[in-house]
Amino acid sequence: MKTYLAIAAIVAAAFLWPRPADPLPGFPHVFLWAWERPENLTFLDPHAAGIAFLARTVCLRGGAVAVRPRLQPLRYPPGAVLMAVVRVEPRDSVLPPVDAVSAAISEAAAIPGVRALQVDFDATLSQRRFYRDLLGDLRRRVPPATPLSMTALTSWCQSDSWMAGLPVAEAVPMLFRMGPGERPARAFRPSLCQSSAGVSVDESLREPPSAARLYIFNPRPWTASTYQAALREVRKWH
Amino acid sequence: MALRILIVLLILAVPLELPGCGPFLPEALFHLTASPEAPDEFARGQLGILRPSYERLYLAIAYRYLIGVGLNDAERQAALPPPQPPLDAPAPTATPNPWLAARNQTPGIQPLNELDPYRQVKKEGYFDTYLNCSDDAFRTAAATLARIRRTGDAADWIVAQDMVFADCSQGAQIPQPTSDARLAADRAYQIASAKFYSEQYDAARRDFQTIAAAGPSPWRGIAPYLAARCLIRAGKLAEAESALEQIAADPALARWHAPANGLLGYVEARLHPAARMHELALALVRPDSQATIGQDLIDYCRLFDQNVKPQPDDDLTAWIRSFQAGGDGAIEKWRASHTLPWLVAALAASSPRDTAAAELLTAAAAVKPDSPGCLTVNYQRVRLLPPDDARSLAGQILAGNLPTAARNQFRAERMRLASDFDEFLRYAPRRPVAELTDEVQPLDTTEDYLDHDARDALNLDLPLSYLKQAAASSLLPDHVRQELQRVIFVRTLLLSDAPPFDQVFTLLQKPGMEPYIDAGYGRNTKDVQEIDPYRDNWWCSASATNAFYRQLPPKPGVPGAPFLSAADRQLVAAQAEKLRSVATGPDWLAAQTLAFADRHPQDPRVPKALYLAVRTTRYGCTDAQTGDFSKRAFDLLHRRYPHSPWAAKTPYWFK
Repeated sequence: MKTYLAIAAIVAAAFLWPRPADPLPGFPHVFLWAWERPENLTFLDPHAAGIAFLARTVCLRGGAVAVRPRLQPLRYPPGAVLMAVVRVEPRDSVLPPVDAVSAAISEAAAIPGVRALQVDFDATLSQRRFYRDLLGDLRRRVPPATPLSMTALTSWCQSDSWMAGLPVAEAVPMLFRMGPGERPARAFRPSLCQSSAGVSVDESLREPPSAARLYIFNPRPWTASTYQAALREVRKWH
Repeated sequence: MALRILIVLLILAVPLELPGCGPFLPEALFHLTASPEAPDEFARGQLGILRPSYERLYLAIAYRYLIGVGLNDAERQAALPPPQPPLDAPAPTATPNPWLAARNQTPGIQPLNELDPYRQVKKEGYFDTYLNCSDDAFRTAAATLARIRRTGDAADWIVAQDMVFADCSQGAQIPQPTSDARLAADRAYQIASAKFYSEQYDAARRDFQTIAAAGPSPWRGIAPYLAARCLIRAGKLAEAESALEQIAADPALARWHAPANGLLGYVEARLHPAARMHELALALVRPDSQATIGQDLIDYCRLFDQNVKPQPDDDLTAWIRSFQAGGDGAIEKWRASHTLPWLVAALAASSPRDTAAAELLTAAAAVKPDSPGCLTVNYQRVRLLPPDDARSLAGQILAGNLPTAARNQFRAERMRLASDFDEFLRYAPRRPVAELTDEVQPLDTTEDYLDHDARDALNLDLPLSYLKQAAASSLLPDHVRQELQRVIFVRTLLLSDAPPFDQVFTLLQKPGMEPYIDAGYGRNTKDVQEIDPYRDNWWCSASATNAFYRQLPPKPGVPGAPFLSAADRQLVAAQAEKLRSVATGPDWLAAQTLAFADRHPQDPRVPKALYLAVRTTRYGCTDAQTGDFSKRAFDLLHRRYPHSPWAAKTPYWFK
């Protein structure tokens, strides 16, 4: 009897545990990722989806920082919620001072109309300390009202604990372009990874993600029809 | 019991997959499809075997050689893009901004460390950034500073120039006119430049026009050109075209003819793309085009990518389009022109049964050995000639010096033409020319491997008896023979009606053994007894849901062993069918183990075999049945041998 009670308690806890509050309150629950290519998103309904656009790439090489701004046009409708994405690319093992990188990233938060900042960085094991310090410095530089988001390898959200305590509102596990034979998980344990997930229009998921906010990647330029199709798919999940 | 249920719940709660990017395991490439293996040699006319899948940049260069124009040294340097440094290359020496370097040496001037040349477009509903201040601007400023220093105090001019370059990234700082007559002309230029960089294009244009019309000024010559640039920046392309044409026609502005013509090309590509593409196509086949060929190739390929049709049509564009589209209309073009490019395209489009093959082969035989198209033409001849003639020609060519990629491709054709198994084996090994991980890198190696054609023939078209011959043949590299011996072991077992358990037991302990041979480097984990972390363990059936890409069961294609007898073909068909029906590795191994355990419960190997069978279901290639096999092996191990060390090492079963 005790056994059944224990199982019942575990199952009940799993279902009844309160979901964490939305770390990006007031932001749309769908974001289209707009990567470095001409993108015309004027068809987008600002109430239905926001735009997380690659604003700049920060290259780290030989201990120096080089910034490459977005050089492709992005068109969006009035009222669209904009999140600036900054891609960080370490080109060798000599990392620059954290504050230099952080300063280069933070400038994207000052782009007119930008309401949040997302950092995209494939930190290796040896770079995690740097990345942690970087996000800490960035949080201090960027206005408190500007939420910080970060993309995450799914392994960081599954079998790793290094992200615990990072000063970001959310970590977005990318459930696409996985290794061969690997299946994305539906949900993740770390609270940072629970609210959002990244999916791609060209990869079907075996199970819909449980995250309330989805970032959608498209390997090709967005069109009204791919946008509508993506929204239809997402609405089936939620 | 409660603990077990809790463990199962925890297992279900924690996903077992190992996600992440990649993996980018190295893959051997025996020739490249998008570009030549040695672009520098290619640009010297060593075209190798020309492939329709090459980037158009290379096809345009090839066309020049095929029509006899080629590239001189300066053209070659201008035409080829500089090689990209590998991602892990050491940092290049930073090139300092020449303006900052010159400015910061001036006494009394507060040093500036950086200058942002990019400016964001300010427009509602629009985000974009563009390079506002180019390197030329900084070089010109540095040179001007040197001139001004020679005549007096430069501090005032530097302060004004700082305002000009501050506009590169944002704002609209405009210097004030100066009362110093010596600096008046330079200040007028600074004011116009500041308006230009702060996007006040109409005002900047008026200022540049005033400078052009005024008295002596060091900026008088460049001013009309900059006035035209204002029109381009303002999007007034038709007016810009007219202004640039006037500059290009004015003998007094000869110094600015080349830059004006460059901008004119930029404008015309946007105003009249079809006509501009035609102009570019004609320019690209002219000799001594070193001054323009680099930019022309970029512009031409860009218009091609935008699917612009040149007006009127031209031979270069028609040839590239036909060659890339599988030779569409190439035979008619060749008949009309009898030129080498069209012969190459027509040969590539033909098959041995085509009526045009004979006339094309006659023309191909007349191509001289020193022609840049010789290897391509001879490769197509080997493909089209009757087998005996093709073998003879391939033999002659392979006896000579060849680039490695071309040699690999001739060896592939020669293997296809093999008249016996020894010939097949002789031409099966190839040498990689590059390696693919997350990018393609050139490779210099003396090791030979199998390419996909030899792999497919060995896997699908040859009976077991031939594989045994191959494994004993010195014509294959040692590592291939060793892999073949393992393949033979596994195949023999799988084809057997009663697989001996001692061999099943061996196989359980060697996850690197499989019934199919790999191309290239094969399994990433070389020790066959080691579990591969990317699940490249044992083999997959077609029903497997998590097949590693190297493990996908081969699919029948064009038979690759024409020398087989009818009896051998029947035999290989039967063996292939039986192999295709074999369950995925973990299921087959677990089934054999469970059956043996039922028959021989006292065999001392059984507990370990059951442990190994459960392990295959974790690390192997699984399907819908695997979980059932895993549980059955797990249950039997724990029920019948609960105190064995193998039961202790098997705490879970796997779905």
